[in-house]
Amino acid sequence: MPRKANGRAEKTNPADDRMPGGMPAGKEQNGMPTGGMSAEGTQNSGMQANGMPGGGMPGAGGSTGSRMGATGGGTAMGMGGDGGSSGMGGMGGSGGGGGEQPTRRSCGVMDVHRRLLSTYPEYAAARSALENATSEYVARQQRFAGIARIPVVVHVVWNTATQNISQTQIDSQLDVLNRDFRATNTDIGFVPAPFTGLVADSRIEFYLATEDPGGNPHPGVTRTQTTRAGFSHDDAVKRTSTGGIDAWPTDRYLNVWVCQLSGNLLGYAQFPGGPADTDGVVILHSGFGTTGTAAAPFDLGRTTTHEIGHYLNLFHIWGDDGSGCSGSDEVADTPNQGGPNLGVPAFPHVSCSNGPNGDLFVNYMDYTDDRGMVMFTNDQSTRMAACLETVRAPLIAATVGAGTPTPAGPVVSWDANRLDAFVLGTDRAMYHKWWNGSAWGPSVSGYEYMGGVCMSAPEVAAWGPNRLDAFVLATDRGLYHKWYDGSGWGPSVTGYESLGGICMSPPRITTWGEDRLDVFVLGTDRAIYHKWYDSGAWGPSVAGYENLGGICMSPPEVVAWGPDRLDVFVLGPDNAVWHKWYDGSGWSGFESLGGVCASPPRVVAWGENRLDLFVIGTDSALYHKWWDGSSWSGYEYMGGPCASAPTAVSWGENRLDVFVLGTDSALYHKWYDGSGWGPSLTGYEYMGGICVDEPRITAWDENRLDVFVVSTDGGLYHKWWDGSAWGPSLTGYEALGGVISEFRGTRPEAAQMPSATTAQEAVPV
Amino acid sequence: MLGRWTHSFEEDHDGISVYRRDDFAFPPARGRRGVEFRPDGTFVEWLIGRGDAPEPHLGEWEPSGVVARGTTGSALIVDIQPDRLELVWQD
Repeated sequence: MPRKANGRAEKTNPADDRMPGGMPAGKEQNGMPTGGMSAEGTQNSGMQANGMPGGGMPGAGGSTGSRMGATGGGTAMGMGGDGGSSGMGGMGGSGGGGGEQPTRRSCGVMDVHRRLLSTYPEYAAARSALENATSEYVARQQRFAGIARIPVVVHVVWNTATQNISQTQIDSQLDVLNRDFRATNTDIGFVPAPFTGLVADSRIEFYLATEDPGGNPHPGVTRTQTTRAGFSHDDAVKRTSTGGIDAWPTDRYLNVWVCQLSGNLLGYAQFPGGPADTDGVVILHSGFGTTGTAAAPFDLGRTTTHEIGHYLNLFHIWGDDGSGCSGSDEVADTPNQGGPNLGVPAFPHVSCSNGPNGDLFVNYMDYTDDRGMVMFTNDQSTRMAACLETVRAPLIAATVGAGTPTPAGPVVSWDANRLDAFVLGTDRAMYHKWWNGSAWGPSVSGYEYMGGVCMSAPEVAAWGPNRLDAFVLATDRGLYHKWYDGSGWGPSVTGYESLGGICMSPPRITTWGEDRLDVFVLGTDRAIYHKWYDSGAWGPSVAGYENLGGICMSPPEVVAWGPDRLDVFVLGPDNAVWHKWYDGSGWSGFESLGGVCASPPRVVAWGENRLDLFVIGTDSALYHKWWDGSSWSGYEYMGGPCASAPTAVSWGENRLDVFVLGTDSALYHKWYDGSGWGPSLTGYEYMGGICVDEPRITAWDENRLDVFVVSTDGGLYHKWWDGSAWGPSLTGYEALGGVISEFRGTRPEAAQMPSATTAQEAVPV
Repeated sequence: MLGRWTHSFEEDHDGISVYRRDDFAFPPARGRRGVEFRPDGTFVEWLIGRGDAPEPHLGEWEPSGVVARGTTGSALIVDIQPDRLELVWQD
């Protein structure tokens, strides 16, 4: 971790104690600088005190559970579970669907994707969640380093001896995949000159599995004789009971079935987010590989390349709207295109006013003959990477420096001189490390593997000594929980309890005492939903939620300043802060606290009936507002600019410590000691570092702070205030591992990180 | 006319789309759309699904020869033989 950011020297001049980039002029005033602010405690711009603007506030209290959906059966999506598998709720079952048996060349059964979309709201939600995750991933401009290698099992299902294709034919297909996905195919020169800048190396490779699901050596090819003359796209080939063969665990293997397909069908694929037991691709044997039964013009292996494109979440390049111009493949760098191109068109082939260069018909996701499709684009490559690093992360975990954490989680302390830090690894599993007062466990740079495939950073609460409760979202956006009771982890070290829900925000947790937890999430309607754990049981039920209404634009921020007291803060559609509270007898309505905010609110309580709220304004400055037991202050300007949401902590009455990142990505600090702000009201203490995520802070005692940040190398770093000085120095950091190089990961020394085998075995099946 | 027809796009000419019965010796193609006339007046347009499996889009057909196509247009039957169907598609 660099100790200095951008060559910046440590601050010594108090007058210079502010964030880099200077301060907006003329903002030394209360009230945020953008329009519509409340000033000095007034209740703001004519809004109703109870009920957020934007309409449709569903109101407080009320319905339990049902609106969160999906607590039923179905297939667990990635997240392990000793606590049952609410998972995709209702997604179970075959992808086949009804309809009549297709005749020879035309086709008969409704497409899996569309049928599930129209039949199961949970599938639509899962697809929508994945699309959102993809957008977020693309926006971060973050890509894995190195190569992702996908284990493949090929299931040859044959009726006539000819269909029992040779190992040579299978190997030829793997060779094609490894050239096509790395842009090393020898026919890449077919790309017309105007499009050559779009050609992408996706850095994805494929290999035949070397072990079966039980861990025994295996060549990665199964061969099954069937009495069926052919298969359609009803997924019969994917089940032993219907003449095919069951999939190997689809979270760990790409399953490729090769068979006789009827209906003039070369192949078909299942998109991510669908039922686990039918996940994979199906290929006509004569469209597979480059030799044996492979027949022109589909004898270059591109059908499999195309279907795996779908499997990695790529849509057809023409947008799947027939021949219209309104459909989209959700990929930015592909030209808008009418319908599919068949055969091999001459360049340029113009449609949808996309001249002069026209359609990108040389793309693998068009419908040209094998010799006409030769490339993926950069943005298609990113979309596939997003798929591999989210919903299909377990697939590559074994090959990508498994277990190397990319810290993203918080830190809690359940006792003096005790710290527990939780992070996500590149495999999106949870990892844990702890400070026991004398040393880091399991080692300074090591982590304990805790399983799961998480879509949110762990949120952890500790209601007392030797107690931890960790919460994450899984790939189905359901909430999952695990706990430490002093003797071990429940339901197991790598297992999770399913708590239902389809959550549109990470969970936020608070506790007001022993055996009490309060959990808040946003539902798909962006309302706040609440559940609680009280003396051994979940309310309103294990999978149910209490609807608290609202239309929220930020995750809920929750504080409990005493028993039976909860304060919840969100941004509304107007970007103002809205507040509601529970006083032991019931929930209030929504109160507007004004502001036009560029960050979620962060709130801390240093004692009973005291709240301090911090947000970033649209000028990137920090603003502060407080509740003194009887009324709210206005917004106090505290300088900037800030490049992250603030993190606030209090180690005692009349004490606040606030940390933000500056525009140089360094950490900055300011504090309130009961008499005034240090280093000044609008100034900041420079603390070095180049941080990529907002800092996480905990205080386990008076005059004690522990600060954790993630640096550009993906590693977790730590610094601490011991009451008299910062350790290891004001601008220095202690490295806590997770250093990353190959596909986000150097494998640190053995024993520090879970091995690939361990990680794979721990992935729930 | 009743039953299923598959697009023999290689035979298209003059803005006319040519369809064949399923026992026709189609050259291999990555995808072929199709149409189906059902006795109850249902017209099924078989389009290519997102994951390559075909998917039906329902409309209706009339004995007059004008086929309502549902969302994207209509087709006019210009010639019909036992083994060959010619349609003109209109938006």
